[in-house]
Amino acid sequence: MVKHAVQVPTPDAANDRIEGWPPSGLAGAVTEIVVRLEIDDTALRLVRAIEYAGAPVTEIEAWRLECENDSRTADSYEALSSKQEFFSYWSVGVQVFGREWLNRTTIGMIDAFIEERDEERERLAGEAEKERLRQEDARVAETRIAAYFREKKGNFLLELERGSIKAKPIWSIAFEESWERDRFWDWLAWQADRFEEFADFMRDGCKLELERKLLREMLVTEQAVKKQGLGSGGRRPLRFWRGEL
Amino acid sequence: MVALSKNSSRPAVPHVFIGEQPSVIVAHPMGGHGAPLGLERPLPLLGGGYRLAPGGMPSTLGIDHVPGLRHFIAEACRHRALCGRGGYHQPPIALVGQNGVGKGFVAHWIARNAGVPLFRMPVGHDFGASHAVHDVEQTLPPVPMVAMAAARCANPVIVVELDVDNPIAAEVEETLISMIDPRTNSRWIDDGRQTILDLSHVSWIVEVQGRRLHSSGVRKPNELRPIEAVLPDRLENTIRDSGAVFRLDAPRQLEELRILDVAIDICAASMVSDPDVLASVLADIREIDGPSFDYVGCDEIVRTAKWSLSRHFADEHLG
Repeated sequence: MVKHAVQVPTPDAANDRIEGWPPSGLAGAVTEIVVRLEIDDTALRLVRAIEYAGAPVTEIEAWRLECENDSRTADSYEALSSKQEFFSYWSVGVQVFGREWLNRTTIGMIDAFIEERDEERERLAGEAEKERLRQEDARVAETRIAAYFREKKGNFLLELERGSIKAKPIWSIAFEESWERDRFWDWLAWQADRFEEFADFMRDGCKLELERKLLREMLVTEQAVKKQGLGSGGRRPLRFWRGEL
Repeated sequence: MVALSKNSSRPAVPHVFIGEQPSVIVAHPMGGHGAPLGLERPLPLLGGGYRLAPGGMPSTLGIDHVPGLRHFIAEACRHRALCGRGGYHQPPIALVGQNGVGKGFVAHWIARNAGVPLFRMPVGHDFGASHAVHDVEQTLPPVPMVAMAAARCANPVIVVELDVDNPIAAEVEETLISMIDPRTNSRWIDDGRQTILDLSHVSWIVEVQGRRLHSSGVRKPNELRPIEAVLPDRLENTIRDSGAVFRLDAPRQLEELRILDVAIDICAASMVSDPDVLASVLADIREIDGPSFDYVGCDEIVRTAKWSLSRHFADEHLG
């Protein structure tokens, strides 16, 4: 059973080239001369046919290619079906030189097509992977929580925001002096992996509670670091602390 | 032919006589004299039969490089078979193209595969004109009449050769139209011999020769400029009304097919079907030093193919 076929008139664009033929009175039911590439369950066939009103009057199987498996047959069909400009030439040549002639002619085309298609598939897969990573990065950028330093009405703010810079802050804390914010940041910078935890806290809790909690943790850390003799003293005891405890 | 039995007691039963070949009388004298050139006798219609079947002429290789020609031939054969007339006949066609493109090859292919003789009829500005000043001077019969008498065939292929270098006069065009137009050509009057001639069985092919650059494509100072082949208007309309106009060229994408078609036909004409011989003929054709951007003339391809074949036959004979 024929699964699919590509058909060309022989030679191409025949009807454009004959002027005044067939007479208009005969339009609708004229002889068609076609060369067809067909694929059936087992093989590829190149058929020359004379058809009248869509039904074959005479049909010659000019060439038959049986491949080792179905996938190779489908690949061969895909490779050759785009070479319609050669159908007439092949169908003539194969009748005088035999099937082996066309086998030799087409095998290179089929292999080149498969190789080209595989390369194209790899390229497309690479591009798709790149696009996936880009989208993943964009998604992460949209959802990641980052800290921003801002100044508002003479206060020095530190805000936690998700995604873009225009988003509403999840949480913010205001200091009167910039060194105070720096002192807090010396500690908070090492808590970046806990920002999601802070965001969860803010769903139920209030801003002040989180403020209390974080400042307490900062002070506890500062005392612990000082006790270990690693504090830098002054206004920013955690200036040279690098998150270790 | 069918003859009904008369005066019989039994119901009339047709007696059918089947001749070897269908035949027609093509010349009907208008006076008391007989038809010239022995044309009073019926002439056979050649070709036809198995050639008209879809597996015959329409499937024969050799013309795939000419867009649409196989379609035209198949239709012509089908019409001929359907109307029940014996012998090959096709509506008039015009082959228009530069020299070397393969118009002559197409005409030969048609005649050879149809099984009918081919005659060429060169047409210049003085075609059919009579310069006789005395009654004693006679004109020769027109080419179609001579052709039919010479080949004893009512349906030859006659190739009308027109050349852009030699444009035809309006009267000449009129004469050609009267010969080719299927509405009038079954009663074509030859004044010189007072004969009505039936030209409707002739397969007319009008070749219009253009002119192209011969060698490298760079025109030499003394070389004539190329001219596009054009069919005279009224003749073109007549052919379009009843037949087809083919504008032939030799595009690069069909060059391999064109060479292959010519090689196949030359080998077939010499009864050679050995693929190895055909391959060697093709190889010789491909070695022709053609112009780099233009096509190789068909006459040169045919000449090379014949030379290659003759070399093969010589080798075979010596071997």
